Amino acid sequence: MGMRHDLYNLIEDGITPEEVLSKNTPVRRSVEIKGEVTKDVVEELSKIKREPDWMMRLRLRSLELFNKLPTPNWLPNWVLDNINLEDYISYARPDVNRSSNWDEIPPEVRQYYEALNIPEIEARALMGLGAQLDSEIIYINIRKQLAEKGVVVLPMEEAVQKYPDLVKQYFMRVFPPEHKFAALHGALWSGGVFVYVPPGVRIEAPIEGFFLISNAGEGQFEHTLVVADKGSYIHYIEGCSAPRLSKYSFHDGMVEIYAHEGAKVKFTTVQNWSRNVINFNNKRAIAERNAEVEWVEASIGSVASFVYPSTILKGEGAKTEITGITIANGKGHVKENGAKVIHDAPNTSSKVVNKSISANGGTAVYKGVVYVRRGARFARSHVACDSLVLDGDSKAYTIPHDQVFDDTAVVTHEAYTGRISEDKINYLRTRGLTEEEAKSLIVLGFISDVTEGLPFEYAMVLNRVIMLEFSKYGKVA
Amino acid sequence: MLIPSELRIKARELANKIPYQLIKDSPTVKYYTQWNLFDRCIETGDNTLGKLPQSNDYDVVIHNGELIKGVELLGDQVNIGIDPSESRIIARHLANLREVYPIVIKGDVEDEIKVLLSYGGEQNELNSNHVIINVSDYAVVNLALSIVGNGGCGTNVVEVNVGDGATLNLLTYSTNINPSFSLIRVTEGGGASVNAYTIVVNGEMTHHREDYILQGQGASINSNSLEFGSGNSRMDYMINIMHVGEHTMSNSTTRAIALDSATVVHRGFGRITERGRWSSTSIEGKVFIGSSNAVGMSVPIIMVDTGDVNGARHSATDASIDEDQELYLRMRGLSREEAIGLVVYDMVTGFLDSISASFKGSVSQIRESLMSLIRGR
Amino acid sequence: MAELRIEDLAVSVDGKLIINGVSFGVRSGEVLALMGPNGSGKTTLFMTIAGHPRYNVVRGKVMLDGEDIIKLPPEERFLRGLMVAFQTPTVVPEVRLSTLITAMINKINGRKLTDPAPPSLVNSLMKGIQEVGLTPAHLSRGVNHGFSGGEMKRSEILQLLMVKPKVALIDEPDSGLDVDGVFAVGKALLSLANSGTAIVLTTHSAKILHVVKPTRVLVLNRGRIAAEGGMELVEEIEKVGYENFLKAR
Repeated sequence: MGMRHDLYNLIEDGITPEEVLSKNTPVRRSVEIKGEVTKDVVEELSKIKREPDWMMRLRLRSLELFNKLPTPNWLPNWVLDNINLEDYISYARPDVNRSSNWDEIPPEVRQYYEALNIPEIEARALMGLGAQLDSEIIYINIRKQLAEKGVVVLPMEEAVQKYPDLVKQYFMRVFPPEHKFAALHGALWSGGVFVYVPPGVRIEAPIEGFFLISNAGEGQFEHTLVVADKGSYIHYIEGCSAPRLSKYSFHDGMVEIYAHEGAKVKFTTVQNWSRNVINFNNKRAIAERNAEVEWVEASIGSVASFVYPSTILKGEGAKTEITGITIANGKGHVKENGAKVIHDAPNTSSKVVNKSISANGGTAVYKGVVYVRRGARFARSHVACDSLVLDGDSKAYTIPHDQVFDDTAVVTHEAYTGRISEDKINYLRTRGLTEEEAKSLIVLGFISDVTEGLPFEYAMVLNRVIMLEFSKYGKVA
Repeated sequence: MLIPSELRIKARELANKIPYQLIKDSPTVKYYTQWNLFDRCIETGDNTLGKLPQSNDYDVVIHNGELIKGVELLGDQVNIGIDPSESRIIARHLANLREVYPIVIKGDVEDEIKVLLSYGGEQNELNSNHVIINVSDYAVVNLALSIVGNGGCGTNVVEVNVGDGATLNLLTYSTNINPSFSLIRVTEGGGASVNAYTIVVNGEMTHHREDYILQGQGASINSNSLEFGSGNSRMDYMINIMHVGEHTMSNSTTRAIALDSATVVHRGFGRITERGRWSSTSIEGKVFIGSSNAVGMSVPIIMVDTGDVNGARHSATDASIDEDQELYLRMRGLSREEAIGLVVYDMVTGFLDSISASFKGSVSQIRESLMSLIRGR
Repeated sequence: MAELRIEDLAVSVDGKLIINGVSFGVRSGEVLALMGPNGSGKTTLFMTIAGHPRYNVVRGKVMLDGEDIIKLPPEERFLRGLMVAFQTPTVVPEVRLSTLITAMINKINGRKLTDPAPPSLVNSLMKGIQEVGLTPAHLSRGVNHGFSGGEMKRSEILQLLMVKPKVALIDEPDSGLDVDGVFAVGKALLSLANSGTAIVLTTHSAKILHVVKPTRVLVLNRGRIAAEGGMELVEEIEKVGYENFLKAR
């Protein structure tokens, strides 16, 4: 039988998922993360920020854990090879002059922003040129209105100083330093936004962190904390649809959300980092009784991204929806997105919708867990994952786990991976569109679940970004 | 056929070195199979036969690593298609074997060919069986495979090579008591097709794994499985389908039942490699959780390495009867317990009824065992 | 002689009062047609009598053969001879229709649920399938699994024919059926009544009432009985519609 000689190659390649996933991971050869973060560096960082004692201690405890915890063995080796902590340590110092020259930005990049119809001032901000968007009149007014309702929206460092007791109750308690990168974040965090919404206050218009807070979206170790008190409502948007240049190639941010009884929090992230970025973000929410947390995650940019929004349904009747779209466009791009839901109380429900598009040799990955513990009666969960793979070189992986310990639960999952059907393209061509236009339109329709929930400007820019990305199959920026 | 000595040496060496798994299964449930339960099993080396199984119904019987019946069907030397470096359990398996038995199935034998892999011993004894079945090109074969454990740990590996254009109807029935590892690895040539029916019943820790490697162009697999766990059973049923050849197709449906305090896991893995262009895979699973202490877990994984595919889909459900269904059945006079009993009964009988008529003989035997298992509740 | 007697029944659902003082009775062999516009409370009435936990009896009695069954769980009501055929039956893919029917008959006759169907039941089943317009293939499908709306109705009626309960409540047996279907189901209900079952049915289009001629007709509106009479009520509603019919009363 001539086919047997191939079998050894197959075995090397891996036959079970566990074998396939561990093929390129640190376990196969030991990888050390480059650079060292010393106690001194962390202490100095805390002193410069003029932090209270408890925050410095938190940083130091996190550093200890970082040194003890093992390197995550589910990460590809090449990602770890590209992390150099020496870089961050120097960039973490707040006194480094961040603004650079508009003229230093390559002309193609400036043209790209023009193609997106983005005003120059915003484009400057997107490129980290230190433009103070938050000093624009419109944003000053928004801040005034929020203050009148008792809503607190501040840069994270300022919040630590102004509202230490409040921040202390939640900071890294929603997401403790359980794994190595969460611990690294705890030690080096810098920048980010703190939001507090008082009981019963409903903020209908979304709060756009990028425009309201001058330091938002610049740093790589940003920490955002949203606390919604009883019965409140808030929609927070982080990031920006348009591509953003980042000097730092490794991001390790964290978002913590605490939704008190009856509160509703919607957290939208649109991430479009430049292609040198490896993006980690540790995202977790806790939902109390009858609270609702909605995560919307659009992961467009960066060469590698590992973000798995998760919600713990802690109180009875709590609900969560996690919607994500992931685009992996380019050879070697690895974009991992996912959802982790823990049903920890009775009558909780979760809905996860994940869509991915991979093209030009990119790999999109969904990793999810739905865990229903015994006693979390009548849990209902549904996960739907769809992946479009646009060409022969690209890949899509869907790796979900449903773990049900209660017999009153109903947990379902469905997934589909395929290409754009020829029939659909032909039909659109008979309606006058070119093949590329047809593909772009189909792709836009594919992700409409996410864009529908975005404010108009975001959706518009996002659509334009996608059209540009896929019309020429991403030979831009 | 004796195991080549280099392989045996390599296996022995690795059996103590390499792990059972390189990475954890998930952040919340770290290991679907509790491999530590296998650590208390000791290789017997000199396989003692113990109590022999009933051989009359079978064409081939292998017990505790020894061929008891079926010498006429043995074939020539073949290559062993598993490697000890795959995992500790496979290394231990190969280290514990003296012989593997190659079986050749040539032409069109109408009746089912019945093969029994049996093992039995003290609770801490590990016994192993290994058989390599070659189905000739263009043959049509009905193969009924039974893996039966009567005490002690067991590792059972069945390699099946399905020749070009051949059709294999495969019925696998496995029932175990103590920790057992079963691997059925089927490799298909061009245009080969396999219709597989699998029934896995109970066991303290049953890891039952089926690999279908669709190597030749146009190969296909249609698999239907029933996983039944009651008492304190813990079962990890894994079906891995790997599309290597172009235009290959797979369809897998698993129904699992978790009763009493059993933990029942269904893992379905559909993979279309870069070479498996224009292939399609569809995997569906339902784990029925039939009691408040039972646990059901589903892991439906898709990995598609090329966009030139005809589609890959999965669906999985973990549930008991829901409130609406319970109410409907109550209005038909049934209590919740009775309703669950009815569901279990129908899932089992429905599955047995769906098995191809070629396996009439085996199915009636299996039906008897399963019915007494259900009735005895 | 079996009898279902409803006395001054008031029912609330999610805190809202849906039925407010309904009384009627039906005996073996009688056919009571319950009519009324959408939202009048017909389904609520049936669900309450069948014992659905979501429906709260605020006051009144539901007497089956002289016994108030309000406190009894649904399975007990069934065993006492009360059976309901649903408007939108639930899908139970894991249990085959044949298995369910056999189980119900077995339970009623004190046998084990999964005992094989006696030959008499098998014969009745084959006849019943023809009567309602289904095929043997439907018997091996999960209950209502992949059934069209009309097929679900026929399947519910088939169950009634096999069980022959003392009292049958049938919610819209004709919706989703074509002319032949309505005829077939109507004939089946007629034979059911002739064999002694007391039937209460609600209907969408009243066409079925031309086949199963009702003994009495009740018209429900906003949780109360607005009119009581015979076929003449049906004819009037068919001519002028509910709005005008109710306005005139």
